[in-house]
Amino acid sequence: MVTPADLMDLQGRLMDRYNSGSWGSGFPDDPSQFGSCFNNFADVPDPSQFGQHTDALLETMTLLAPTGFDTGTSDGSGNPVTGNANTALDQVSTAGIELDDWTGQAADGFFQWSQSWKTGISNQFAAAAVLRQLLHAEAAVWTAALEDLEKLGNDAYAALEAADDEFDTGAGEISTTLKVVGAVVAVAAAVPTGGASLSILAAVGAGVTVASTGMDVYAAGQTESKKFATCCPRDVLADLMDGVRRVEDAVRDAEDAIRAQLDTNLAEIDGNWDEFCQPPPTLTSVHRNHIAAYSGLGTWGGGS
Amino acid sequence: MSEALGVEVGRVWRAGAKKLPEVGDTLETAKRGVSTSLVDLLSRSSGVGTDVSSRFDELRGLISRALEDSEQAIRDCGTALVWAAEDYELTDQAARDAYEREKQRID
Repeated sequence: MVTPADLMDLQGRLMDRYNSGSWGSGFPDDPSQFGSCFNNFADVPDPSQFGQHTDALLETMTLLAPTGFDTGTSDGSGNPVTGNANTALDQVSTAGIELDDWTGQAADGFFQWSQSWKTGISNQFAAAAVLRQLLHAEAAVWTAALEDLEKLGNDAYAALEAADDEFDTGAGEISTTLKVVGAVVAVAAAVPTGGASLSILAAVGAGVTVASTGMDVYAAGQTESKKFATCCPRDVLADLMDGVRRVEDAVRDAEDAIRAQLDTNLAEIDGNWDEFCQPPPTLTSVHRNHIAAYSGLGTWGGGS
Repeated sequence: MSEALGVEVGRVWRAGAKKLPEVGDTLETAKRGVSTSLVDLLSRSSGVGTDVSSRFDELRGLISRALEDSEQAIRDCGTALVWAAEDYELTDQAARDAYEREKQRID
C-alpha cells in the first residue's frame, strides 16, 4: 500500500535523476518541480490508517445488529464481511423481560416505547454501516490515487532515463495506466438495514462500492491511459504534472460524491432525531417517591 | 393472588436490575467504535480533493450521541422498574415473600 511518505521519497529520486542527467536541450522552466510534484499529497489521508477505524465500526455494528448482516465489504482475503444478530437486544421486549401480566398505562407505555427504542437502535446500526461504508470509499479513493501517483512518478523516472539515453537506446514512448482517473466511485452496495425505519439510511450505500483495502474497487475497464514523452525533461515534466492534475481532479470528484452521501445522511438524521434516538419514556421521569403512585403502575395481573 | 403478584414483581425487578443494565452495557461497548475523532485521519493541509473530515466526524458524533442517549434511557428505565418493584414488595407480605424468592432465584 502506497503511503504519502513513499511519494515524498519518489519525488526526491526524480529530482536527483534530473540533476544527474546530461541534457543538451529541452530544459524545464522550473526543474525544481521534479522534487515537489507530489507536495500536495504530503499529508493526505493515509490508506494504511483506515483499518483501525473500520474494524472498530464493525464491532459497533455487531453489537447493534438487529438481524444478520452483510457489510458489502470484503476482508483482506476477499471474503465478504458478515455478522449475526445480537440477541442481547431482544431483552428489551415483552418476551425478553418475561412479564406476562403487567398491564396498564405504565406497562403499555413501556413496551410501546421499547419497540420504538429498538427501531432507533436499528437506525443507529444502519448509520454505523453507512459511516463504515463511506470510510471504505475514502480509503479506496486514496489507495488508488496514491498508487496512480506512484506509477506516474516511476514512469516519469523511466522517461527521464530514456530521454537521457535517447541517442544510445532509441527508447520509445512510455504509457501508464491510471486507475483513479478512469473511475472513482462506482455503483451501489446496499447497506444492511434490518429494522431501520429511516429510508435514506436504508439506501445510503448507493454511490459507493468498496472493499476493505480498496484494491479491487477499480476493475479492468475503469482505467485511463497516460502517455509520457521521452524526448526531453521539459516534456517529461509537463506530462508528469498533467497526470498529477488529473489525479487531483479525480480525487476531488470522488470526494464530492462522498460528501453528497454524507450530507444526505446528516440531514436525514438531523430531521428525524427522535426516530433515530428515542427519548426516554415517561416512566423514567417519575420521582422516586412517586413511583408507586404512577398512573397505571399498579395493575399487575392478579395483584390488584 | 399475592403469590402471583410477588413473582411478577420479582420479574420486574429482574428486568430493571439485570436485563436492562446488560443492554446498557452493550451500548456502552458499542460506543467505543465511534469514540475516536476522524478529523486527523481525513484532513489534509494542501486543499487537494474535497476535505470531508468535518462531515465524517459529524456523522460519527451523531451516532455516538444517539448511543449515549439510548444507553441512558435504557438504564433509567431499569432504575424505574427496580423502584417500582421495591415499592410493591412492601405492600403485601405474601407478595413480598414471593418477590424475595424470585430475587433469590435470579441472583
